[in-house]
Amino acid sequence: MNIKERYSEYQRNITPDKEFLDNLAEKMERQKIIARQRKRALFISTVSACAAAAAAVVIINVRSADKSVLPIKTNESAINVSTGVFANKTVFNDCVSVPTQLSEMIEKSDSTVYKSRENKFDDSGKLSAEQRAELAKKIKDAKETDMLPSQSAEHYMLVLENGDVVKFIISGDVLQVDGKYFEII
Amino acid sequence: MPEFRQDLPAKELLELYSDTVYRIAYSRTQNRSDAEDITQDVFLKYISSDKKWRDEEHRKAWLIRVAVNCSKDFMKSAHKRYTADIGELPEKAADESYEIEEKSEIYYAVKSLPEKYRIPIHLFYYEDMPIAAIAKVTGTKESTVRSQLSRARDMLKKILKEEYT
Repeated sequence: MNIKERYSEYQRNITPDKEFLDNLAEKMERQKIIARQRKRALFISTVSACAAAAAAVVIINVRSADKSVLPIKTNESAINVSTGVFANKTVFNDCVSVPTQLSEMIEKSDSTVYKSRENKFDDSGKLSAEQRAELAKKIKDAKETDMLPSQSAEHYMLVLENGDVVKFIISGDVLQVDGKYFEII
Repeated sequence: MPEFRQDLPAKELLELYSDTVYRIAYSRTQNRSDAEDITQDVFLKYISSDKKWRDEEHRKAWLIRVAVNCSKDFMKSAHKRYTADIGELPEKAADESYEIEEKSEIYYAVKSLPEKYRIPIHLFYYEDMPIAAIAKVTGTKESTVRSQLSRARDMLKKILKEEYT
């Protein structure tokens, strides 16, 4: 018998223990079940994550769509003009220019005008009759423009006799009122 | 070779390949308990693996390769270093309880081979694998396998004082 044959014969006697194999088979089956459960859990979590991501994309798109219908001139200052309980209320008519109408309202003796650095007003910012007259004169001939305000803003609140309120902003030479921009000449 | 099925029940898989894997592990460790540890490792790796098998040969080649690697890793492991440190006696004593055939001349001849020669010899003599395939599964050059086989056969010949093929 040569070495190969002797080696093969010797190896044939080397076999794993039956009890060991039975235990191993059981372990493998358990491992298989765990692996399947993990796969299923991974699949479910992946699907959930995808669904959440898809929902997030839809929400973002819907919000983007909402934003796209906002006036093109919308910026931080402009938003201040139209925010609050007065957002959709206008006291202006279409026949006369808004600055002219605003100017007349400011000049009326029964109106009150407040001025502030921010969109909060109190009595300390109440304009005198002279100040109101000066302001009315300043804005009377303002023309609608595409210019965007670049300087710091001064906020105004006009309270009419009937309780209507008009908020407007003057940034340098730009008047923002009723969702529009007017260049002060 | 049996008809190929991608997913085999554990028992069937063990019936087909446990001897092959166990013998590779044993050829390297020359210890039944260590060979069992390695065999378990290989089959649990198989279960955890997501591999798709092309055919039965592909599955067998993978198991042989993993068995070779696990055996190498095992011999390098802290466990093996520790058991080697506490001496040869307990291992020999444990081996006494196994079949008398293991105590044949060939057993001691193979055991006297350097560890790195045992797997190439086993794959060549018992699994009838060509040198190129042995080089592939052991991750060595064909020339290295050739010289390992040549040296191992010379050593076995010397120990067994026999002709070899």
